[in-house]
Amino acid sequence: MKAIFYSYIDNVGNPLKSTELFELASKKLQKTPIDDIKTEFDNIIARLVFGGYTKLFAVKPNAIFNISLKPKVNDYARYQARNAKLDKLFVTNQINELFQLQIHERYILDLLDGTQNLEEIKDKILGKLISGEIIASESGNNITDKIELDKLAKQCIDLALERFKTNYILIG
Amino acid sequence: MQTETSYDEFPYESYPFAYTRPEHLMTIGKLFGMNPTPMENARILELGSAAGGNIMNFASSYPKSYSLGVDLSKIEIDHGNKVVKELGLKNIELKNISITDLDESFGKFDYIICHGVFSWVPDFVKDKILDISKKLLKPNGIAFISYNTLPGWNMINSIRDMMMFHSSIFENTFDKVNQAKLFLNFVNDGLEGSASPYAKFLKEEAQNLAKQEDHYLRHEYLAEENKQFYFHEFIDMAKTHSLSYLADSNIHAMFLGNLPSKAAEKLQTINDIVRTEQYMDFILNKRFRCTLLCHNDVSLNRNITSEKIKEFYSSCNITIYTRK
Repeated sequence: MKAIFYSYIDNVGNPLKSTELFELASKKLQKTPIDDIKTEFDNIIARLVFGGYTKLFAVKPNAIFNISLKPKVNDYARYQARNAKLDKLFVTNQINELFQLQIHERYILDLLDGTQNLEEIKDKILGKLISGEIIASESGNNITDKIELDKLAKQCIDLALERFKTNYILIG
Repeated sequence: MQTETSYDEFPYESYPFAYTRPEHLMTIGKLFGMNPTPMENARILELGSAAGGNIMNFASSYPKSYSLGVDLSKIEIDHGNKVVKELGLKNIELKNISITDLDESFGKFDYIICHGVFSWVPDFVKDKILDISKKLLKPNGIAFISYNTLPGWNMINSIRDMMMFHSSIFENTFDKVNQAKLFLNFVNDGLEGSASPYAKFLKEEAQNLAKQEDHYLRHEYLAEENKQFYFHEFIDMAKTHSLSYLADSNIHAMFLGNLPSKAAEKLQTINDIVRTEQYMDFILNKRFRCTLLCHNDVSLNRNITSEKIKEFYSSCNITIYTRK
């Protein structure tokens, strides 16, 4: 059962067909016959679904579970990110949930139009950090060192993309 | 008209709701043996769409689909249309018309969504919502209607009555809302130190309501119209329009296994889904429902097996704690 759960956990934001789930679980438990995994799944799945722990999808959500070279989000989400008020900083994800953005993420998300690569996105975020449009601070002191800001921009983008990936935001 | 004025004065935030999205309705329909229309060419109707925040993402994701949202508030619709225009969306229309203006000339729809409207409109509009859900729904279509339910609201009505009473002497709507919030503080302070069940309930409600946004208080607790139903009453109304109960949008709300075993065992002997869920509402003191309806000639299969579930994609957002 743990192998099934861990396979789900590795794929938060990526609903799986049962066959995919069995293969992933089987890789985790190489000595266990796949039929045993299927039996375990049969025993628990109804309880997981009707207990509210597992969500079902007739069609795979219109979101991707990898970070492409030129990431893309829905135009509506970009519009929301651009226009949201600071106290309601959210966008709609691809399963129609509200997704709360951190302030810097609104700038990152707005750049994800599928035409810019990760380096270009980083340069633009770095530009905003240098210009002060986005303020980075540590222990109350603003960070101004360009090397530090460059590292920070990359780190913020990586973390944001990972969050977008696991929350049904990325579509390309 | 009162409703039109109030929603223009206090616009609702136009949020998305995952449990209303057509893909989700399709999933539940399929789970119970229906053959709902795929998303790519689906036609969606939302009654009381506000600014379209619940259907905008769908329209943006499926360019060949068509979505129509209608709402009485001109401010909401104008705002939504500004977004539609700026995004260049051609497959969504937001119209500032009444639900009662809809007829078969608007075409038929695969999914009809009416969230947060039914309890808050006059009876003739309630009837019209069910009429539309029948007449404008395609044969394999699914209608989503949410509403406040009893017995949960029996208790909440006490606090609503108090808020209505206190705010009734104020003319201005903004004053009414502010005064209702002050009244909640008064209730909370007044019950300090009291541990009676009544005090516990009121304090909890007052504290929860204090966190809510103004538009919610205005349209939920200070609304002139707020009618609640027992689940079986709602289904009886739907039946008069030849509509049948498909499922709850939150399917886990239908699962007897979520009740204590003694209650679940007893309810398992009832061979009537509506009565069963009504008893569940009694036990759980349910205050809100999201009901899915379909045409009464659609055959459903409520025997959900693991084989059936395997036809779907699934995700499970859980955390595993390892005991050291």
